[in-house]
Amino acid sequence: MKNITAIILIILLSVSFALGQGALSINVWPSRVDISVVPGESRTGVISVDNKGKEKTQVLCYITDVGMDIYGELLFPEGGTLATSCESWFLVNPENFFLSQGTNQKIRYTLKVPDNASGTYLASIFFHTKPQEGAKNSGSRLSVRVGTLFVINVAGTGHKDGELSSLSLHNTVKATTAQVELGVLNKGNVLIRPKGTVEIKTNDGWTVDKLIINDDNQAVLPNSERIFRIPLVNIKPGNYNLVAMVDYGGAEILSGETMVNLVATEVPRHDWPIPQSKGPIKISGKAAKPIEPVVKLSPEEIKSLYSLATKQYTAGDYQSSLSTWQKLLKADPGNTTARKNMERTKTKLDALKKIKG
Amino acid sequence: MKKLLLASLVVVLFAGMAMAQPADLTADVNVQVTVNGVWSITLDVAAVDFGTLEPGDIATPANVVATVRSNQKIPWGLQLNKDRDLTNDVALESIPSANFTYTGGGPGAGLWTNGEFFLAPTTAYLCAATEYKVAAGLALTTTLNLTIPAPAAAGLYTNVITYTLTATP
Repeated sequence: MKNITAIILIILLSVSFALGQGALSINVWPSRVDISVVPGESRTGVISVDNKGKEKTQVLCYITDVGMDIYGELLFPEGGTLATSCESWFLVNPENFFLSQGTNQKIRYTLKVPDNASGTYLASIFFHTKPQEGAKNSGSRLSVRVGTLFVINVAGTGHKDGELSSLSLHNTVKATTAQVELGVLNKGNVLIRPKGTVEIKTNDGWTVDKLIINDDNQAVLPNSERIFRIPLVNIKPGNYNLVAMVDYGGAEILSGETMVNLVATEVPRHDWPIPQSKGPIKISGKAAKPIEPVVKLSPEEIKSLYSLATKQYTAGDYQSSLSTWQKLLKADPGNTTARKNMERTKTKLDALKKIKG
Repeated sequence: MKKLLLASLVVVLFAGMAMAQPADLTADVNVQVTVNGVWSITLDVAAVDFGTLEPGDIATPANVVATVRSNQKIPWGLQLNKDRDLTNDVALESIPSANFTYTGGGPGAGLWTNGEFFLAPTTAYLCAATEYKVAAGLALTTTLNLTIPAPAAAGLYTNVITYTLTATP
């Protein structure tokens, strides 16, 4: 009787254990590695990968660069693509392994910093499960990928430099949910985390709102630009002066101001009047960027352009794809997905140009 | 007899010494525990099968729950991508990207970006500052929506969708 009870208990325990697991699950540690090194130095470390899923799985390990588009979308292009790439500094072992259910694999990495390295470099070591070969069903097989992010600072070589690159209004759904867009250009070779405010002032100098920039401490990567968007809440249509003050941790506080016209309208997206700066943007004495006129296209035409650009991208015709994205965005500047795709296409093109020399 | 007395005396003396120990004598026991690092993603299914459909049909939406766990306080995001369009390898036809989309949901306080699957990983969910550490796990539900184009050729359409968990710099 005791034996039967024990067997039942074991079965119940096994079932409950299995129910508590997902079909696919990997745990990677550490999630992030911050290293301060000197040129010429070598470091080694270990990353631990656990299979917490139900099945044995094959895991591929590879290193990518880490980039960011203008709106902060993370990009992981092939190693060696970006200026902040340090992929070639790494050796990892093993790069391909099988993990049975509940088992663990230690991956050793060695990092050799070149003598001429300076500033901040980024990489991600990814652990990617191979999709399970199952019955041939219609639909999608799934895989998971977990990255360990490396932020490598070469000690004593970093310099901070930044400027405000743009300050404008951007409409989303309607004027009352418009957003202020503030662009920060990181001209230095280390990460910066700009913080600050944009005051919305009436023509007679009254402050109607004060927006906080980058409250969650996000980064702008070296030698790149990032646009921060802050939604406007309960601001009536009218003419306003936007006044920005930004501290990026450098020698000076960045400041800029521009006049904008907030328009109340709920017409369909492709017909929106785009709020334009009335005068030049006064940013650290630099001239404003000219704003291109809006081209009007029907939603069908925009959809068609979107489809064309995607096809061109998929076919590897990045130059044509870029032109199509640009054409689309002239007609639909608020199309964030198209903008992201355009940035990706640019990244691909840049990478190809580098490869071709 | 003398020896027996002597032995008894020694025993009594030792016993007396032991009993005379101070009552507040303490001993330390070192206690330690190692907590493992948690940075994981778990999918509740390994594949999504939409079954057999007619051209022009809208498939019953399929849910995939991605549970993210982290016991390090870092910003993170969930990205999605496909290796190709849903493709019929025999008829050499594929279902356009716009016909296969996802929408996100669940208890997260972060930001979902819904849309199509792209070849390049695209952020579907960006965690809120309150979710930098989600040791208990945050279940993110992605609902996959498929419409079969009216002129789609008969056959099996497949691809691979990858869920990427990554820290942000």
